[in-house]
Amino acid sequence: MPETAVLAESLTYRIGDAVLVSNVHFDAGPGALIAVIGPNGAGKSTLLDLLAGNLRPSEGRVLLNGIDTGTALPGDLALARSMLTQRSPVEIPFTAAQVVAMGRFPYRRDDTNTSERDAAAVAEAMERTDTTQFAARIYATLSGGERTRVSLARVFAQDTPIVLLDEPTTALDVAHEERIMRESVQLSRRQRAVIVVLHDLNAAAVHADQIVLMSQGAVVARGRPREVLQETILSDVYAQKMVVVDHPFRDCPLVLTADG
Amino acid sequence: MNRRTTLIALGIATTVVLAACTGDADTTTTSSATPAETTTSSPTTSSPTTTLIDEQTFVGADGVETTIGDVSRIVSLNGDLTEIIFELGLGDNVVGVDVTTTYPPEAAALNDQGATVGFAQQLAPEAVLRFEPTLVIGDQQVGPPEVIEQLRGAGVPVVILETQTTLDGVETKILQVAEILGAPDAGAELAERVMGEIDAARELAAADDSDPRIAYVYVRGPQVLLLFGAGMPTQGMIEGAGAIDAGAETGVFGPVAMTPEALLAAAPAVIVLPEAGLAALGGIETFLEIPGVAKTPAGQNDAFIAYDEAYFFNLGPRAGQALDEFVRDLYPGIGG
Amino acid sequence: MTDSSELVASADPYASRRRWFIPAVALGLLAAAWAALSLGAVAVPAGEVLGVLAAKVGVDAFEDPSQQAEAVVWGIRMPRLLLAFAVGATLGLVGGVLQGLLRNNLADPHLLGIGPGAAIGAAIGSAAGGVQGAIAGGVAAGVITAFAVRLLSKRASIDPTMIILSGVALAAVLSAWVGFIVFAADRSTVPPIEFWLLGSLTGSTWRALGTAFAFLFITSIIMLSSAHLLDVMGLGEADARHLGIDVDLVLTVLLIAAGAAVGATVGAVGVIAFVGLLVPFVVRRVTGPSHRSLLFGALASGALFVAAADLVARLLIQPVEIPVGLVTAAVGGPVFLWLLTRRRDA
Repeated sequence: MPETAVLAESLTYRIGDAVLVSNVHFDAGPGALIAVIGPNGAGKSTLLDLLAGNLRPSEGRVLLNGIDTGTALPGDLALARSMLTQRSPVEIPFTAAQVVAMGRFPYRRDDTNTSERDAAAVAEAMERTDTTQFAARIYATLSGGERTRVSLARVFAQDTPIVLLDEPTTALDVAHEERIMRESVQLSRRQRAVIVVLHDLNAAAVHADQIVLMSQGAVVARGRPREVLQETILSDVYAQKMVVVDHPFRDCPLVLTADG
Repeated sequence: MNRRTTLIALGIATTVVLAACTGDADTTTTSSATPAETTTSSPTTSSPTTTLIDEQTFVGADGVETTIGDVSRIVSLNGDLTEIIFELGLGDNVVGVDVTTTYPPEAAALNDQGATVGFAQQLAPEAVLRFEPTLVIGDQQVGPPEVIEQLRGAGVPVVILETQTTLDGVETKILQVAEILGAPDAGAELAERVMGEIDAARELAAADDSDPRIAYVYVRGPQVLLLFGAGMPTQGMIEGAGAIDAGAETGVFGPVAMTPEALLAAAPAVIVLPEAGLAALGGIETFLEIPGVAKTPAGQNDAFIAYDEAYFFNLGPRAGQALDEFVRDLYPGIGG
Repeated sequence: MTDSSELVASADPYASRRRWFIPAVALGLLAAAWAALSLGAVAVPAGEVLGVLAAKVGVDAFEDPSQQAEAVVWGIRMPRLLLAFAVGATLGLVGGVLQGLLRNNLADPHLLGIGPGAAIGAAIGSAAGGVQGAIAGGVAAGVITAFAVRLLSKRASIDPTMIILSGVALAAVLSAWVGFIVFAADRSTVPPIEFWLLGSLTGSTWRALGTAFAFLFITSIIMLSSAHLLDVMGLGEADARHLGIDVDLVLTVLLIAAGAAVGATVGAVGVIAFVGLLVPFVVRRVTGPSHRSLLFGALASGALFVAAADLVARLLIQPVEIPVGLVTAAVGGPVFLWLLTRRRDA
């Protein structure tokens, strides 16, 4: 595996006159959890779609484990990266277990794969996302948060070196948000490159190895949480007065909004 | 994967088998009943009485050569052909007719009893085969062609005659039917008589030189209102009466929907209608209420004539009779 | 695949239903076949029917059948039965595939306009070359119309009702075009409009069956192979792509296959409505959403449905034969209305 799992160079994406992503350089290696934060419309989800190969960049290119997303076959991309989006439909008539099992679809042609491995991957993924109890439930009948966790389990089951998560915790309650973030960190510790778009700055602060701060399509800061989560730049980007203090019991910053 | 290969193998085998079947299953097997007796129909007697005839072949309007030897069980698909068969004295041999047949009374009786094949334009093979026919006869309007194919494939001789739409064609029809039934002399006799009647009626019409514009409107209840034009048998009748077929003259081909515009263009002085259909519509009063009708010369002069549909339309053995009646109705006071 | 895992298998609530479904459908098919071969306006005793069949396979168990029995049972009823099976199976299968592709349980090839569109090509083709021309023309037009439906559905992508409505509108327009062509054509060679829009198995010949079967077979193989793909596409286009499916390619191939399949059936027997709508709907309740069982079930059940409908069409008012599409509509129409009034389907 090349040192840099994800490499994006001079990435620009335009629709008509609007520039959604502007000249972004991005790299991520295995074993790191990178949080992408920024206000609405900053281009976070677009960036993730570009990294996933869902969108063709107007300029620049993306390499995933050395494969160029612009020319790769969908099947090869599916073995390189998995993605959780906000775009999953609700009325899926399959059971949760069947949905998670679909995460193994890219391996159907792989001769080295076995059905035992598939089964194990599914079981483990559901365990990690606390969705085993839903195995026999129809996906469409689950709550929003439960569906997110099942979709996440599907992503985990796909077991790819690169994992892209677009706001995985938005619909979750606090307990599950914490659990999912910890599982994502565990994932990265198992030598995956995990890139997560988050809206919650403190979740990023606690769990991320690196933070990328975006504003208006550009990357304005990149580094470890303490480096990026600075009052001036945050207040500027979010157009909102922010105060950053030390977290009382964790070794990371704590971001608070303030009046003024 | 195993399932898939089995399916594919099965499918290929089936396709091959079917291809082989389609090759030979549709060949015509002409049945020929044993022509044991030779017919001797004397030149002056009009009705041949035998049902087994000299085996002969006839090439129909569809180009198919059919061998006919047994005329004991005939299914006739057209009203005019049915009339001819009865008129030639072979009415007893008719076992099935089409559902629109109303003449002669014996044929209508068959219809009433259910001895019918339904609509000749949309035949069902078994509806014909259940009569165990030895001969099926019809004109080019019958169909669908696949069913005709199936009947022939079942060994039934099916003769398709050319559809005749003119008065002169009546002679052709009669002679062709007679030939097929093995009664050429009776046919010649009948043709001579019918054509004589037709010519007499034409002559009678010639005495009048008013050239009226006449339109035939086909009615069948309030939803079916058709103006007939060129190529319809009614054109033959109208022109035989020395009149102008208003529909044909304004460029109408075949049957078209009767619209106020079409009526206006045709401007008929007389409108001919089918009796039963008109009654189903509700009579002349209702007909006059239809837009455009009252404004025609016919409408303003109340010049409507209604005949029994088959009588006027069939161009069969009664054609001369019908033409004579028509001429007398058109030109009152003509002839004697 | 993962289906063998305990976790997934235990989560399958439809397994028990499937167990009686297969024998039931098989039994139904046999009964329909026997009825189709032994009933009709021409009375053929059961012994003779068996005699005809036995003679064909070279078994000497029965008396030699009469020529008429042979002509009726083998020349008329057998191709008709097989064509009913083939057409019904294909329409059921296409319905299942379209519903999976468009993620919409109300999708039906004829409602969406593919049927009438194919009829246009078939009517033109039949004027040029009889039944075989009709089938070829139907296939070509069916494929083109399938693409038109795809374009329409792309624009109305979110709302399933819009897809159906635009398909209905398209169907109405195309049906009118079929009418124009039929009325302009030579009536003695081109079947009348009722044939195209209401369907009829009356003139089913071995030739029609042979020609249609080639198309139906190839397209059915393609469609049946897509079962697993259709399952995963149920996750939505975005996630299907993430899992490695080239969604555009799959849509293209399956639409071509579906359009060609529908086109071949229309060329042979005209538009028979509601089969593609009804059959997958009913089968899904028994087999569940997994397409591998759904598609095979729809195939078998569709064959049974059309064969049964044709029996009614043929025998109800003898000697006249009702267009088989009227029978399927008489059953399918009310069920469709009922479907529309429901909120969610299983």
